[in-house]
Amino acid sequence: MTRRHDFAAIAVWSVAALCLIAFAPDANGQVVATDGLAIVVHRANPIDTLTLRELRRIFMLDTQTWPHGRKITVVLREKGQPERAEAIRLICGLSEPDFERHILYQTFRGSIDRAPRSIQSASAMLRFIFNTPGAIGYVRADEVDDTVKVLQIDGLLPGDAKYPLRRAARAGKGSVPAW
Amino acid sequence: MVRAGSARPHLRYPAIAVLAAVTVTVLALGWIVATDLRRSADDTRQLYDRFAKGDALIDSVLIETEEVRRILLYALHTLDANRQLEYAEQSRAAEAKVQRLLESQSALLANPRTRSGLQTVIEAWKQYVVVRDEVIGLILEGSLKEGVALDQQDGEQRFAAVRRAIGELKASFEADAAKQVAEQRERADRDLTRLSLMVVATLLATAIGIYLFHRREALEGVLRIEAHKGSILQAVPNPIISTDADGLVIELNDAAERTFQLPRAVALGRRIDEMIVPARDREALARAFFGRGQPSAAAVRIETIGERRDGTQFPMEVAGATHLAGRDLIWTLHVADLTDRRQAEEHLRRAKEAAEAATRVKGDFLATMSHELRTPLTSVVGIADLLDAKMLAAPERELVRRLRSSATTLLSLVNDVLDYSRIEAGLMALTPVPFSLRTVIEQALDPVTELAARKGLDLRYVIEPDVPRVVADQDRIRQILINLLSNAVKFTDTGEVAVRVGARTDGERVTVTIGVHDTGVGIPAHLQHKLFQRFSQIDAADRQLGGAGLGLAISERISRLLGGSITVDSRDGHGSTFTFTFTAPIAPPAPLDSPAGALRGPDVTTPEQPPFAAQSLTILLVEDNEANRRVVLLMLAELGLTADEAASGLEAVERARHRRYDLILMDVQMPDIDGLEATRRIRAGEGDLKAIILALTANVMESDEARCRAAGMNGYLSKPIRLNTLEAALTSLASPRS
Repeated sequence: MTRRHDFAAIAVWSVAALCLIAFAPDANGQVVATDGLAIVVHRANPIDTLTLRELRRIFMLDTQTWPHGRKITVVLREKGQPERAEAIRLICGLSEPDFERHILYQTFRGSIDRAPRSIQSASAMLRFIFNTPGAIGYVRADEVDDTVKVLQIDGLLPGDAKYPLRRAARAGKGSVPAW
Repeated sequence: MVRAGSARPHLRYPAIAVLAAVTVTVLALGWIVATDLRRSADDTRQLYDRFAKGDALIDSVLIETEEVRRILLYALHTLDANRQLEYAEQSRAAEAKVQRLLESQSALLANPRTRSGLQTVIEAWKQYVVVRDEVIGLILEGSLKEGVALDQQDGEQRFAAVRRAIGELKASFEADAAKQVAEQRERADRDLTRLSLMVVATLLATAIGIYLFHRREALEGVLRIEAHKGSILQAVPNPIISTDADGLVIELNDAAERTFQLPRAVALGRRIDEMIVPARDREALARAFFGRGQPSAAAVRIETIGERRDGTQFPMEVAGATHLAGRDLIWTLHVADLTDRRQAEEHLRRAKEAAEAATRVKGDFLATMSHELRTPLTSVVGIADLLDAKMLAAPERELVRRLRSSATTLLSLVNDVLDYSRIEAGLMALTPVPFSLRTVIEQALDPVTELAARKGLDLRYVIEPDVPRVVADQDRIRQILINLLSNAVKFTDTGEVAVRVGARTDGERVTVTIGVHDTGVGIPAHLQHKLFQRFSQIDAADRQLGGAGLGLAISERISRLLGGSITVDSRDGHGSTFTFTFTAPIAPPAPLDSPAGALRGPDVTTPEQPPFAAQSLTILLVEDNEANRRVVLLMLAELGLTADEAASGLEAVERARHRRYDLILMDVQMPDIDGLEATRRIRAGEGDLKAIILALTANVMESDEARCRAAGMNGYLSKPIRLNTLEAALTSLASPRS
């Protein structure tokens, strides 16, 4: 009875877990919230909101200084990680290679004195932001904690319905977003 | 009697209490010492612990701050943001640790002296952390140059300030620690000193306690002895008074209070001489004892009169002895009430007087008896002598002889009894006169000559040439010799009786030895010791020989009075030798003495008629008893003499006044005036002064003789008068007159 029962148990628990993951957001009516890309800055940063345009200029290293004068440090995930490409695509509307070429170009032009910093995980992203006053980065909206400040983009927070930085394809049931 | 042991038990309880107290104290002290030492050790350990922790804290703060900066420097050496983040976070973690250390453990360093130092460190650290955060920010932002620059400018500077602050804190902390350790050590030292003092104090207290205890014990012993002595003093029945050198009373016993009716309260502190003697004797008492500075070696003893408070007086003896109490001279006066002693002395004196009176009475009785017995005997014997001298027919002659013999025996008995009584009463006195032993020997031989002749015995004597005249009582010596000789003749039937006289001169004295030897029956050895006991004769059968058995006893006692002895040497059936010795002073030789050493043969014939028969003597016989007068007259007639008669003293005086007498025979005891008074009157001139007056007396005491001589008499004849005695007296008187 043992082996058959084991499989049955595993199956039951797996289904239960999946159901929990799939239906939990639905249960509290925040289904889309997990799909947003939260833009985070140092908590001491006076900026609360950016337009998507301003955000893009920052990530494209066109804007390099915060209004209060501090240099802006853009923080991305590491090269090769899907979250990097996804974020570049969402924020800058570029593929990752295009973005890299843009950065290289800007660097050679000498118009930038610092390249974006690369961080290998979401938690490191948060900690980096926490430690760096001029930094700006991103994490998945459900990964945000209070060590960082989440910026409004176009006046919207990641949980809002019209929040711009979310994946084009809506996340269906059972699918895991790949940021 | 107080036994030392019986007094111990009540002392044992305090001893146990003291022991318990000491034990408890020692335990308590031990506990205190242990606790204090432990607390002190704990304090020290905690102090060191705290210092070690504080030191370690400071060190770890220092290390962690170093770590913070070191990690930060690592971050500067990489371009990788992830690595930089790691270092930044590590640096932050180290910083947080420093912060935690500084905040959480600050209590360790929280004392007034180190608080400011700690605050400085915290402040400096905060300053540095600001810079450090900025540097981290710059690094993570990728601005390494700015980061390095900032770090090298502000960072290093502020970090140096932190290190300086920590160094100062450490120095301050260590100084404080050193100070506290010193204080602790000081406190420990103080504690130790205090404990030592407590221990010493306890030991001291114990020692003092033991000392006090022993002292109390000793004191109690002394008090017990004192009480004992006090009770002895109080128990003494005689008054004992203790005074100082001036006679102020210090102490007196119950007997003194009683005897002088002197309450202690009154007596103490007052002069003793003002209280116990009458006013007239105070000076003497005070002079005898008081006012001298030095103790006297011997007890002072005076007899005086004691006076009680009620004024009654009694004889007393006060004996005082001194001793020094410290430097004070103390008199101890011992009072003896002499009332009893005086009474005893009085009793003794009266008893003595009574005894003397009794003795006098006894002597008087003896004298009276002597007189009363001899007076009739004088007549009997005298008449018998006279009858014997008459030419009577044979039957009558025989009767007269028996009468004479019996009377003589009776007279001898009376004499013996009187002699013996006199000796026993101690009344026999000796009258030493110079005399020749030859005379005495010859006189002693006379009475036995007749009997010896009748028994056919040889009777002889030998006197050694060197025997001198002596001064002794010749009457007594003669008496002894007569006794020995009559015994010898009495107990010897055949053979001889011989007297041998020898002498040993020793300076002015001579020891005369007179041996009387016979060849008689002898005396058995076992009976010899009885010889000198009174009333004893060897053989009851010898009673027929007469005598009361007093002879040898009397002789022996007289010989002792003469300073000599009588011994006997005899064998049964082989005769006896009695040896009589006496010592006496040597008398000067008399010219009339016949040459010594002449050997006379037995003289059994009657002595020749004395020459004075042819002479014409005028004699007055004074005698109140007519019978006695008659006897004496007859005796004088036998001697061819006549005499005038006087029947009383007055008559004698009267006759003596009218006629001159050559010889007056004066009876002593007479009714009107006695012979002594009569003699005194005659000598006083009422009669012939030249007459020889002889007393006729039965009182043959020596005192009588002295009285006779004192009255003026020339001698005396002892009653009863015997013919040969009278003749001898007349013979001796006649020669100087002729």
